[in-house]
Amino acid sequence: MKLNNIWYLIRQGLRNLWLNRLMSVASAGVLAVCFLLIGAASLFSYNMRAFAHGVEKQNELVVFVDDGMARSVAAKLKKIKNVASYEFVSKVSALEKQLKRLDNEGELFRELMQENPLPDSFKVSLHDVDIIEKTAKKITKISGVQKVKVPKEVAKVITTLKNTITYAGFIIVGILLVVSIFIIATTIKITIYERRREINIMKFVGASNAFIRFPFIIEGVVIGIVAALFSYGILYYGYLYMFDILENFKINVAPIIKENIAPFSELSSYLFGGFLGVGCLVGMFGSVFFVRKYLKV
Amino acid sequence: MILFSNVSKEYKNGTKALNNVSFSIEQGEFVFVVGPSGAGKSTLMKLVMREEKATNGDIEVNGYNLNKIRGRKISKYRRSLGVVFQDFRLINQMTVYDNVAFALRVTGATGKDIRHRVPYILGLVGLLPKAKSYPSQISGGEQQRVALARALVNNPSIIIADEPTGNIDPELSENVMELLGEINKCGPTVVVVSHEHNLVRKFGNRVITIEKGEITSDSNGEDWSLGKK
Repeated sequence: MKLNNIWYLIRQGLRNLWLNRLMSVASAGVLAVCFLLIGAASLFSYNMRAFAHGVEKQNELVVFVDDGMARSVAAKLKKIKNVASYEFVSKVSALEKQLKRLDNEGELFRELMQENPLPDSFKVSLHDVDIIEKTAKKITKISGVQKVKVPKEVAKVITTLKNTITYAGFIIVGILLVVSIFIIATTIKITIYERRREINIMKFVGASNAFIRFPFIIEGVVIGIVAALFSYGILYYGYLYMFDILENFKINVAPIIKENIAPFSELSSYLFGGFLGVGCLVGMFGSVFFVRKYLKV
Repeated sequence: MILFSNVSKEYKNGTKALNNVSFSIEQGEFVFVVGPSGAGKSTLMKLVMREEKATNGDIEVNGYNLNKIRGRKISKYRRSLGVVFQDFRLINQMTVYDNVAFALRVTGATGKDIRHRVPYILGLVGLLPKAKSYPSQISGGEQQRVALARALVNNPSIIIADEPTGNIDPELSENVMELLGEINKCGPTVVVVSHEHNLVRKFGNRVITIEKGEITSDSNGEDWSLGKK
């Protein structure tokens, strides 16, 4: 293929898109729907993980410490990697909290009580709840720590939930990907089948395979780009709309859900890059692959 | 120019289309290939166009050994031929001008060459006023002339016409044959496959007859008309 033909072939590809506009729109539509499904599944799975992570953060260890040891324990907690944050709860405020909870009986206790029986404590939240017991053991070894309260069952539930969401996300996106490839392949196949006569004529006039393929590649790439932009746009605005509803409490949701919704920008570059890359590659390789059959004359 | 040496062709389904066929066609000849349906004429054309490969024997056209060429060389070889089909085989989504220009573009011709050569060829076949029309907007006879223009535009040394008058009315058929005769006078070899005996009688120089996959006669037009082999 000579260089002076490239511009002609690019124009030819764009022109063919218009001439076969029904099939072009159908192909781009199918591809966009596949992208939308995959994108929506990815966003859902990502948010579910973020939500599980949010719950995980709320899953705290309670570390009771000896009187006067709070400062040294805090310094050592800071050095443990899995510790995300900790909050000091003084024995005074712990007692106040308990008494408030008891209401009238609390007032009775206050009058009868001679000294505060509660110890100082830390509420410790972790990065990874999977290793909660290992971290609890480490904390127990710190001098001045009386006892560590570990919410084992909740931790187990969260770990299971997180893993289930991760695997289910992968499986759903994987299935959608396979189904999408099948649908896209069929669409490209039909598009090219419709034009087999044209390919055949070109071959008999002496066109090289590259000369015939090039406009198809241009068409495939443009269809891929259009589908990627279209589906990205719909996902972006759809997500913003949903975000807006949750943000402004137009519907009743638990604060933990609201707080853990990932902003679109966190995933936008992956989605955009992924859609664009996959769109171009699918269009390009799909065209090359299915045109091949009709080039064998 | 075109040399068939003991060529046989058997298709995968077992059909024996050609059996030990040998002939040669020299540069500048005008040859008719005739025969009843199923005689092997189309197979012969397919072999010349390298659409099919011979099962046995050697075929040499324009210096290319058709049993040995493959890939890019097939495209290059086809550019040295001008082919006209019974069903015209024009690209419906291209204008008359673009259909003819396409054959030039595949050779890597420059825009300047194309702008110069295409109107000239369309003028030769009398279709310059229809350059911007699409195949569906012109008559069968005109479509066949576009196909002829496309076959001529690269100055091929051989023109192959497979039943070029099969889809057009008798008056236009003579017109197309006359055009082929004129082209032949300018140098290219012309091979026409036809089953229209009237045309063969009128225009035939050399006539090769194929029956049941074998050449049964190879004679000049006059002898063929008189039934001499």
